[in-house]
Amino acid sequence: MSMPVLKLEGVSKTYPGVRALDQVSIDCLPGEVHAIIGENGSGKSTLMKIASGVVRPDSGVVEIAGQRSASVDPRTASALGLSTVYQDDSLVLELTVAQNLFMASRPGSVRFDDMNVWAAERLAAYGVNIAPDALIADLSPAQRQFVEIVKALQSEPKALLLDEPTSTLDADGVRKLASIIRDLTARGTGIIYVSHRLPEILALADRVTVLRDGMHQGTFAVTKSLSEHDLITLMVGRDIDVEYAAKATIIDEHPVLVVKKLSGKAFQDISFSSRRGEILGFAGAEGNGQREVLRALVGLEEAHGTVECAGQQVSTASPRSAFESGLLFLSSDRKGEAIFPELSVGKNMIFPLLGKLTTLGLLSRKKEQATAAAMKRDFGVAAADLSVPVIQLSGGNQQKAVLARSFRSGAKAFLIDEPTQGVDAGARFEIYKAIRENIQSDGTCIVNSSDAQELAGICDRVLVFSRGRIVHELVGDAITEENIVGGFLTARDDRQTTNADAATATATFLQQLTGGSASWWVPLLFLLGLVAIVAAYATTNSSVFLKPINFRHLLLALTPVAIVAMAQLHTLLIKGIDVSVGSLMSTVVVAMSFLVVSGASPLMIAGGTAACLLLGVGTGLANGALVRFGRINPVITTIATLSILQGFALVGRPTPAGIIDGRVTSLLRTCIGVLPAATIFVVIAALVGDYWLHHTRSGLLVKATGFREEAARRSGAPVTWIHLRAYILAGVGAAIAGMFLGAQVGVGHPSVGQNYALASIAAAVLGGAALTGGRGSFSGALLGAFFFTLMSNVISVLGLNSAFGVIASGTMTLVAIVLYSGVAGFDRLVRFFTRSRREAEGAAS
Amino acid sequence: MTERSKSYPNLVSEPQSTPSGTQEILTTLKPRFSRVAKVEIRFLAIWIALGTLVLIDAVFLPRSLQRSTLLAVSPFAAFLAITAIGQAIVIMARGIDLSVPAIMSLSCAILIGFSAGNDAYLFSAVGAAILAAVLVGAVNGVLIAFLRLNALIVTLAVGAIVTGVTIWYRQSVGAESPVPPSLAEFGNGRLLGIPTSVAIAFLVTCLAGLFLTKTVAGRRFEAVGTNPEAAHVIGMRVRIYQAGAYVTASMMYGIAAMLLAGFIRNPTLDVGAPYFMSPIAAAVLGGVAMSGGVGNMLSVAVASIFLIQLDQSLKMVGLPTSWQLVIQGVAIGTGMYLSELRSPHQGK
Repeated sequence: MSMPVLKLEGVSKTYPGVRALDQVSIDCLPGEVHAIIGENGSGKSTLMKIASGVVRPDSGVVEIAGQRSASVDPRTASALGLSTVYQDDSLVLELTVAQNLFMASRPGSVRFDDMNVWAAERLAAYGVNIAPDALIADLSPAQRQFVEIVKALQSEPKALLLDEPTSTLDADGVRKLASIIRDLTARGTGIIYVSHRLPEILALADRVTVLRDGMHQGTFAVTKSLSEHDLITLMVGRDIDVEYAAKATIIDEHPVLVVKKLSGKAFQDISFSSRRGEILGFAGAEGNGQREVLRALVGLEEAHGTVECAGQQVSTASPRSAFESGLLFLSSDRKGEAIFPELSVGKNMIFPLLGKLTTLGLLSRKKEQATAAAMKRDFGVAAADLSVPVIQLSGGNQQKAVLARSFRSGAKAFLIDEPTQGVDAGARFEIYKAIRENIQSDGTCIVNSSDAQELAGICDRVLVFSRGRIVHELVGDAITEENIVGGFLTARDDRQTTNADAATATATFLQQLTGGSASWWVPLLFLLGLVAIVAAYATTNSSVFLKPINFRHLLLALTPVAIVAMAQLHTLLIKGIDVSVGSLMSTVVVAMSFLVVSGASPLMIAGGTAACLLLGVGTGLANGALVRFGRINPVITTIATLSILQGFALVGRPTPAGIIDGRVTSLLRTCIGVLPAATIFVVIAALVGDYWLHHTRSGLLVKATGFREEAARRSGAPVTWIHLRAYILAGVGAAIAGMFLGAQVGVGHPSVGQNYALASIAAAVLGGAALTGGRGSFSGALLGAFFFTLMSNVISVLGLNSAFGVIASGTMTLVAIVLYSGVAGFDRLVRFFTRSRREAEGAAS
Repeated sequence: MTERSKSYPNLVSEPQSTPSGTQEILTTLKPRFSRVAKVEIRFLAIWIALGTLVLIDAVFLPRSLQRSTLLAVSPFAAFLAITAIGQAIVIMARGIDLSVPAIMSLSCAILIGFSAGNDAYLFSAVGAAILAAVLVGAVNGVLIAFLRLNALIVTLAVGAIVTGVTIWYRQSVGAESPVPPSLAEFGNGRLLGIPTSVAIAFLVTCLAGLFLTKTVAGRRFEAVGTNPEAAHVIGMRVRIYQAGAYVTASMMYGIAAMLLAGFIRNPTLDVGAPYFMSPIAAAVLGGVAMSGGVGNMLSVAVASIFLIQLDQSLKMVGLPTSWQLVIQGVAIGTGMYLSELRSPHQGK
């Protein structure tokens, strides 16, 4: 027998309160497809994560191709020959297909310039027909899935892990995937295939392992005699650890919530109604649209269709408008969207009642305490004290506090996403009871749960979702765990390829504009246009403007701005920011006035220069380390550094003093004809910088890190070092800019760099850098800096009020961010207004 | 408020809540002491720091605690406290405001320009000055909360524009331009033996504290700062509260600018310059969390006193004023580092 490509032996993993895996052993042989199935929460994904080195098992051994992986690290696993195709995409959406594949290739194995040809070959080798220069963001989810697979195959793995690979595929895609898998197994690759879809598994797999509650239920060879029914029986039937409350006996036929033909991105044509006193369940494998439907009902997801609550039309524009009609949503992301972590339990519970707890307009402590205490008792929230921050409670008690808040809010229809996620067994029962009691008189409740047993236990009716549609409705005695799981496991429908609904004309236009700022040349063209207009205006209105001497002045003034803008770009590229560059420049100027003082020996000058550069390195390192390791927000970190540096500059030179050596200043101001040497240096720096950013692997990794750090990490980018390096480069750049600035002013002026922080950010942003990371170019930053310098030059040449210079720089900065990052916000506003108008029209007709 | 209560119809309708509620109060009142020790360490820290500083000063530098010194220095603590409360409100809404100096200089310029140093126009000039500040705050708020632009860059850029406008406007006003005499008198006057600015700062601190702890809007503001997503999900007007923070803060800067102008009588163009960094330092030292929502106005005021007293002590020891900046920077850095250590459950 040949050696298994992947072997897990006796693997266990316990999370707080949950035994995720219990002594599970599986192996996968070369050329075999080994499927792993189980319900939601049966331990499949934990198993995958342990195999790929993302999660450390409590006990047990992982062997890849016969070698025990020494450390828990995805890169080790990948080096040993195991590749993983993740369910949530690990692709950088803003980069092209070829760039994503290239990042996963072995460094040095492909030339950067051959990337597209190489990527086309790789894709063709697996019969995937996607243009290599297409942006991932423009691909369909199915196409992205194939890119993921091809990317995972870059390292020629011996074992390939596929996590729900067909959830986004249509019938054609599933066939193509099957052919890729057969091709791989023919070459000896072992495949671990995790899926919810039994028909596919029976068609593809050689063996199948069933997991239930983290326990290995058995591994079976796939033969004709193995039926879907046998597998389902093995998967369900978890020991009942919770007692369920009695179901509703008589349900009022009068519907509270009526949803008609609701369609959105993740679901189509959903119609259902929910009656008074009824608990309606949403079931399905994760990611089949059930959660999105709930969110869409309160406007947290885009959708169109009609929603009525208690006979009234509901506006689904925002949670606020939905709530006004009686709809309230409880998120499954408790920490992110439900609790106010740092606030006390009491404060968390009483929000909807605040208006009634005042005496003479002020909140009464007495009333607050009394109400909170009553809620705490009614919902059985176990907390030592009402003033304990809610985040310190157990998951179950947090959820009870949230339920207390929700049920006292006066809403009619409660949409609860995963009511008992992370809740211990005891608390679960109380939660079920609370839901049942509180909707009895005039409410209704929709529960989305990945736990089929829970749905079977509490729901009066269950809707089963598959690929964005309701495929079954279970009522009364038909609501069993087996029927629910069977309902979505055996669904054979294929994902329908639907076109996204046509957006409104304005929205499309604005999207194009935002898309426009994504291409590097748009800001450059925009800036060139601005430069041309300003220059033309200055030429016609001033005789001095075009004189060589003025031009030289302009270019000399450009140097420090340009250098510091390029320095700033390094931090912006990785989604950071450095506000301290300006005061670093001041400090460098002051340092020069001491170290590179007039008449210093060449040795001292060299030492002084080195010291200035070291100051830049040190500042950058300090900023980077505080941001990265101290986990302090970059804005506040660099503000602190700004203050410290400015303080030192002022301590050194309270007033401008100390002449900087003339040889150094004239060297830095050397001109070749009209052109200062520094200008040539700056232009070369911008070109080299752009070559690095856009034409090397290292630059590509920086962009990827800025766009999507997690995806970059998965592609093997050293993200921590990339972040640190960006701050160090920004520091060094600012130090160099400071030396050029020192050459201009000639004396140790303590606050000369003050305005350069804003200028550097504005110039880089005008040149196309986005505050959201990943975008920007060095030539753009240079051009942005040129425009800034030009503006102040023109203002002084024309004899305009110097105040205009300051106003212009602020305005330009605002214009730049509104253009490049505000448009998205604008787009949202426009869509919001068009949607509410549409709804208003719909209601009127 | 009436509109809100309408949307939450069935309320304390639980039958037994009142009788047993009172019983609950008795039991919940007792552990309040432990609560102070548990929750408010981040706010207590600055009190301890101030106490330590005063103790050291009392032993080694008694003249820094002399009545005359305190009377001369305390107005500066008052100006700082008012601006710091503004900045703290912005930080509680998860933002940052770097346009403070610009707004203060603008307010002073408008005060001088509108009043022309004449008592007759005092009230309209003060009104216009504060209104101008509020308008700048509204611009900041709309750009940041509604267009979702980066707070740092917006406030820096708006600050630059406001500075430019101020420079331009001041050129039309005479260079030698004092504030109206009665404002100067007011700003240098005493109220029950304490400087008026200190009394007003105290009042502002109490009002801001009262707003945050005792009003419905204040409570919702706290929620929006702590978790804007959750606040959105339960139907709060998140954007309005966020924008409101900038408007309120700017009003504070305007008030502080008026008091400062009255105190120094002859405000120059860069009258606001010292208020770029120090309000942030005071807010951070006062325990306001950069992650939003958490803040205590009294502690912020105490932090302002601490910073001014520290500065004064160092000055008396003979260190140049510039060290103040270094100390503020270090204070911001350490304060932030410690508060990050204390709160491990921050999302990012």
